[in-house]
Amino acid sequence: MNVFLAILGESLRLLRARWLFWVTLCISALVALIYLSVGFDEQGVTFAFGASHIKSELLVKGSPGAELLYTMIFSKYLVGIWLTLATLILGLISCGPIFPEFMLEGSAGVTLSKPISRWALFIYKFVGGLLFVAIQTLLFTVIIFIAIRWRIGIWNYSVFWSIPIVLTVFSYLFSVQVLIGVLTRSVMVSILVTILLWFMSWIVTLSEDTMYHFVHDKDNGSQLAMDPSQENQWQKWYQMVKFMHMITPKVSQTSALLNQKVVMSNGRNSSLGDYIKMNGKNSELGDAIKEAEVPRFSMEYIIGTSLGIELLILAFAGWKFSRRDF
Amino acid sequence: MSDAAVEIEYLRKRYGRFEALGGVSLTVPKGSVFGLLGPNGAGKSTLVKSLLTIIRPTECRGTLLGAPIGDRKTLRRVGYLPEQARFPEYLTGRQVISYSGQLTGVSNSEIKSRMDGLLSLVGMQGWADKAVSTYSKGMRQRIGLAQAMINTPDLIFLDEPTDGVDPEGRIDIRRMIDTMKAAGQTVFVNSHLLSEVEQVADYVAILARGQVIRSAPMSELTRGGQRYVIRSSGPVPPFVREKLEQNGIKVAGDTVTLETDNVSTVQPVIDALRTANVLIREIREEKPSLEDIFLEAVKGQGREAA
Ligand SMILES: Nc1ncnc2c1ncn2[C@@H]1O[C@H](COP(=O)(O)OP(=O)(O)O)[C@@H](O)[C@H]1O
Ligand SMILES: [Mg+2]
Repeated sequence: MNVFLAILGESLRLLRARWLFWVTLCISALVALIYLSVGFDEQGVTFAFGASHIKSELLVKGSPGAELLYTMIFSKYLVGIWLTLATLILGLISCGPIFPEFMLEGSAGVTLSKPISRWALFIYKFVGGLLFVAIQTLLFTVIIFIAIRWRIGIWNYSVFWSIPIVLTVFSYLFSVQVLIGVLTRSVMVSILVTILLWFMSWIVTLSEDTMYHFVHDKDNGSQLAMDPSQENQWQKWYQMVKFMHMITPKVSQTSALLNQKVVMSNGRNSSLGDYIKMNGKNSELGDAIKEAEVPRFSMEYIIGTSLGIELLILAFAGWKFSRRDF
Repeated sequence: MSDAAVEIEYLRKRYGRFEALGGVSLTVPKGSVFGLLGPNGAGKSTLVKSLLTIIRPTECRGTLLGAPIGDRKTLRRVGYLPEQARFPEYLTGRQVISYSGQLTGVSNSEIKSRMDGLLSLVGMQGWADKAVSTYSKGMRQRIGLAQAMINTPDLIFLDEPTDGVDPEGRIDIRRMIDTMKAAGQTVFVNSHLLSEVEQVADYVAILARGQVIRSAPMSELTRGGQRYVIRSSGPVPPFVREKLEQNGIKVAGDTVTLETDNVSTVQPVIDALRTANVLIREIREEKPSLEDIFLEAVKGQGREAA
């Protein structure tokens, strides 16, 4: 335990010593504060702590519309852009050097000559890397939590789902980064390969989704008629892509789970479809969007298969780490 | 229990197809300062790292502090200063030392109580709270030594401890090694510098191309190969020279060399020279330095390998 804390403490010092950590933390706080600056009054939405207004009956203080909009800004935009994109990239850049630097000649020896198993060391270092994202997300979420209380008047505990989910997503990516780092000892290569893999995971998810709809939406009038052999071929292709999808860490789909997990005081998600319907203008479009928002995969499947792959990657990286000569 | 701190029966290490250590055996007596001497690339670091589980030896039999080599728990009682040691630049010297202590299982209170003593031993009290990034090479080595000693180890490995350190620092490091020895700790020093080993070690092993060429107490190593050299003013006359050479004594120009450690066998030669009216300029006793032994050993090795 003492050893674990020592290594964790050391990782924390490493992060603290990086200016990027502080820059990220500041931007994180800033983004959360901008969120906090949006509010509602008797006439509609206010921005910049009340400096400017937009009148809207739907969005007056205390209305369900206000809660929906405010929750949605968080779960869709802040999560999508800041938490699951910017924070992750900055995390990869900040944590990239953890393993390669540790493995430098003359540096590894001090630690490896200690009575600690290589596997334990590997795992502790890995957990240390997750600290970056954990701290960033924690700070961010706490401000969001306070903002919702202030603006909407409820303590929305469901926003804290962002911590485990963002951490899980980061751990998929970090495991790849650690593996490449252990294999090549290069910070740059490990960052680039990880981002490439992230991109590929996105492509696979997109392909799976597109092909699913292509193969399954029979009643869609716009679809070309296919003869059975052609359809069979498509099915085969789809099965292949589906398999690829299964063995890929599902970065975007795991992030998207936050949309389901963050709920409003009525226990429902903040859905764009709901918002459009509430506006009363285009309820068909609202329904269509709501339908598209319903995920086809369960949370267990998405996280389970992704963590399974992550575990395999980590096992391989740890095995390499525990056997290599320093 | 044996009274060896390290007993290597057989140690072999290959990096791919390259054999860095080819079946080495070595004994390090408890309480000694043991110098492992060898040119760069001889395999000294490889040997030490094998003992410390930093690399995985291809084949290894032997014990370290009584436990089989490779047993991690024993490493609690071991200290290590790596070659070209690097510590995280963002840590302070004090943090480096306590981190090392924590990883070795030393309690925080013990670390605290030992810290000041160690810092003053290595002469770093004034710098302990500054970041490693502000240190000179010599200061890094000092902190490196302190972190190797935080667990008051029974056995300390120092890999090229004086490399890149200024002369004053070298003297200090030598003094620290003496302190460790006085405290009953066994010190294992790797070096490619004879002068370093010569001044501190009780036992020396010479390693070249992955083989231990010689291994003996310092006193024994330098005892063999003693000789006397007589120099005359002008070349030794041919008839005297012939007579001496018949008795197996080497003569070259004005120099007569007797391979012996017995001074009485020198007297008849002096008589013979004086009888022939040769003027004697100098008589001196020569002991081989470690350097001679080292060069001789490495040279022999080279010939074998060629
Ligand atoms: N990780 C490694 N992979 C391949 N060869 C290595 C490795 N480490 C050391 N060597 C080689 O093994 C030999 C011995 O190296 P080393 O033990 O560092 O020698 P020394 O410490 O005596 O200078 C050298 O020829 C070196 O190039
Ligand atoms: Mg070396």
